[in-house]
Amino acid sequence: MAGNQKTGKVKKAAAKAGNKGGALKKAIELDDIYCHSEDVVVRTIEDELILVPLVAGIGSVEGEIYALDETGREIWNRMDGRKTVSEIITDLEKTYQSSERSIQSDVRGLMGELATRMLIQRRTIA
Amino acid sequence: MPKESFIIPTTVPELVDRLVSDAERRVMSFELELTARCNNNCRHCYINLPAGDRKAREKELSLDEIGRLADEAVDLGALWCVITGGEPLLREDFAEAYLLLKKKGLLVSVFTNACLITHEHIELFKKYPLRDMEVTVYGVTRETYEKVSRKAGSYRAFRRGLDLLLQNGIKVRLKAMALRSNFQELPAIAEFCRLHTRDYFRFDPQLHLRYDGNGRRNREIIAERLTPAEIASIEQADPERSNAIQRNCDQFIFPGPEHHDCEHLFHCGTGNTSFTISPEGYFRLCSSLWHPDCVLDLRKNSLADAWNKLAPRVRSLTSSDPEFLLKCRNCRIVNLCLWCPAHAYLEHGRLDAWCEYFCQVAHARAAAIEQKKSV
Repeated sequence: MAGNQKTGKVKKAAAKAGNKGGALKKAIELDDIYCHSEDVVVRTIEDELILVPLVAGIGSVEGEIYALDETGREIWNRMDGRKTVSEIITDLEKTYQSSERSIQSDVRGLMGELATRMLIQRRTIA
Repeated sequence: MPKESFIIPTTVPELVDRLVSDAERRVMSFELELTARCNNNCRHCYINLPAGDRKAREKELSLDEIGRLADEAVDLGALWCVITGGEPLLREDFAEAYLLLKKKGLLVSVFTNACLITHEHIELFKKYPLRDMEVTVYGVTRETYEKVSRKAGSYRAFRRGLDLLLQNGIKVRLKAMALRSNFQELPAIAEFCRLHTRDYFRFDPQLHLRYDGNGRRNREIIAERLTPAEIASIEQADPERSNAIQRNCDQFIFPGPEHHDCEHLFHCGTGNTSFTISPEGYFRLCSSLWHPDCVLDLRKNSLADAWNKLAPRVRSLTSSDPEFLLKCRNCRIVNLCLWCPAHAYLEHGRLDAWCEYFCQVAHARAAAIEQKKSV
């Protein structure tokens, strides 16, 4: 996928979007378990994963919908409401060559943004 | 593992830009006409039937049918649905239809006259937000509004509905139709719209004929049309619009001289990223395109067949009519013209018919632009 025109456009959009909301990003603990919000409809269009907020208060006013790139999809698809953040990171380490620190940074960064926008929810274990 | 992994807030236009190349056809949006019925009886309307028209009501798509078509549209990649009519709020199951579409993962816009907005609608839109709502302003006095709508009490209902929407922070865009019955009030309508919406206001002088070919109603529409000189004049008086016309006249339909010899009828983007579904479930490439060879009954056919088989066939239609080829295909100002195959069919029953009124409007616009340039 790397290097094709559409990936280039996604990266350009990501760069344009920057890390909005980063300052307010929720802290993600390694033992936490997250699941997708029930108030988000997940669409796959071409090779993009698109999150469409269903109810008010989900997402933010800056965009109507949210696109996740390849990395985002890998992380999103592992948030099954059972795996801890730490287990997701370990799982990703098996697939990617990057360092644990780098993967952890990406996972916590993305999940922090998703949680801030209420696109994912922390699961409370009874 | 790449670093730029965070989420990308995006919009439909941005997504279209990313996903659809110039050469591609890909479904991104569709219009769903929930009903042809309307609570108003506007003089210029191309679709409206009486609110109580039982036959029209019986033919309307059911919720189940809407759900099936929405699934098919989503499978084809649709992301945005515009609910329109008629007046869509006339449907008693409007809220169910709206939610059904939202839950399919579609962004939903609603085009309405706002007269029937209730507190229940407001609660619905506050909990499940619209992409946006487009409200038509026929006049800003009771006299003018109801001269157009021909419905006593409709101005009061419109103001009440619009106020409800605005007071509750619903994202509303306003638009106006420019017609004989509200011509004198257009400056006041424009002022009202700009005062009440943070988004853009637009007015449309293009009155096209009815889908049902009703002769009496078509004569009423023709009587409401502004003269070409009036259209050019009001457009030039609006700096935003005149600049847009001048800016876009090189970009609309006619990309360059290489198309002057082309015999294809369709040079617009119809059927490239969107389509329309009628209240009875007929697929069209755009809302105006009602030629029988260009529609497909989605109660008997799949949306995929309509999109993948019918639409390319329609887009490849050509004409060998000498008048069309001479007057329209070789026209240097075609980008300023209201003409399109769909409207030609509504005017004269042929997709390649030359339309005198549209031609006159184009020449009036061109003259106005030339005059502006020379000043």
